[in-house]
Amino acid sequence: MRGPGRSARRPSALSHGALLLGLMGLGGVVSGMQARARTLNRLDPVTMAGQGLLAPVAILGGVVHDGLAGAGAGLLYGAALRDENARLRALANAARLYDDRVALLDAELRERAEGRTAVRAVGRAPLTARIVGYAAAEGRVTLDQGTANGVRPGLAIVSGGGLLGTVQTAARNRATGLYVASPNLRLGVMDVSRRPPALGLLQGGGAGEAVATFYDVRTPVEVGDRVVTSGFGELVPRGLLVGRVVAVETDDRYGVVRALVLPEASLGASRTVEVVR
Amino acid sequence: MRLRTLLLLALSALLVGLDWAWEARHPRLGADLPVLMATVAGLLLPRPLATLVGWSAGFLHGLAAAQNAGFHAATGAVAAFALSSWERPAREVTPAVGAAVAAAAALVVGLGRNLVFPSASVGADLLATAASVVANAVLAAPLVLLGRRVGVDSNR
Repeated sequence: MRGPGRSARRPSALSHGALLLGLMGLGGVVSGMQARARTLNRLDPVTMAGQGLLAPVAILGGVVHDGLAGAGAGLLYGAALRDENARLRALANAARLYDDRVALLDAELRERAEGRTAVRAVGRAPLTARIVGYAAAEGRVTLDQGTANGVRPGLAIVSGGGLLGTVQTAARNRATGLYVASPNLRLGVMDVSRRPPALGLLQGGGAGEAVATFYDVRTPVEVGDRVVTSGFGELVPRGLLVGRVVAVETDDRYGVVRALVLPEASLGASRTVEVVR
Repeated sequence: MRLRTLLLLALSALLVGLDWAWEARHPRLGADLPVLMATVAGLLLPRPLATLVGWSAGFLHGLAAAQNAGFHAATGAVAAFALSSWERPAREVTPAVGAAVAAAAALVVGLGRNLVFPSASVGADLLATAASVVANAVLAAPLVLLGRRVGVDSNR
């Protein structure tokens, strides 16, 4: 049955073989071109043309593939992904809260270290006390230390690097302190940015500020000066930083200079303070 | 060049383009489309046309992947030429036969490639070869069916 066909196909088999050889020869030429271009770190024109021809199909196929894969993943894993998302959100919130907490504790530790350093710098022993109550409007704090540990009215209270106030009343295990900006607090201070230091009297002005009055109209107080405790009393030592001058007013009528002082320590910034015994 | 030849070459380009997109996403789990094209062409087409389609599929695949286009083209052309020399009417090639031959071709190519370019991850290579065998078999069946429907007959 195939006899006549076979005799007729013989020349065609030869031509087919020639075609195969021709194509392979062409492939070899392209191969050499590719190899040469690659040696020169270039892309040969045939490869560029081939990739240009195939790129539209590949890009379209990739888009379709990604879309189908996304849709399939959404169908298969949608519920699990939603739960996972909620869990990750909760974790992120917890981490954020944790970070805030760590930052707060870091600040407290730093303030406490600064407070102890400031107390030791003036030659006194610090007693760490925890603030257990605030009366912000009155500028008053309640401490968890009292006379049992040597706390008595008039002692200085330090927070961070500066004077927070003084002890107002003391019971056995409790004490109240007045903030340095409280109108009821009066304290001897000096401007140590001047030589010689200028002596004055500090009185709280409320609203988180205090006024230092210097009883010499020629006192050269300037904005930015450091104001510290004068230490002329028995209880508050000399040299505790009170704050910095933010405004100066000369009152010729009364012959005084009034300086507005921004306290270094702020009420409510810390939960622990140092009582200067 | 006949319209059918052009259409077949365009189909080769289309499939190789899809192969390129697929391999970019699943480098180890692709059907070896040039091998598949050479197989189906070798089973269904007259020898010169099959050789041309096998060559062009391998050639385009080599260009797309910036690999040795000549080597891939030669592989495709020889595979198609050899299969088309297996004399039988194309209408007798069932999808099952096409699938089996395409799977066998993928297996031979995969194992041969692993022999020529051995890698440290033998397990992964075998898995990739197995995946290619399955994918080639699955894709060959409809291609053969399509070829028979459009009346391709090598009439050797």
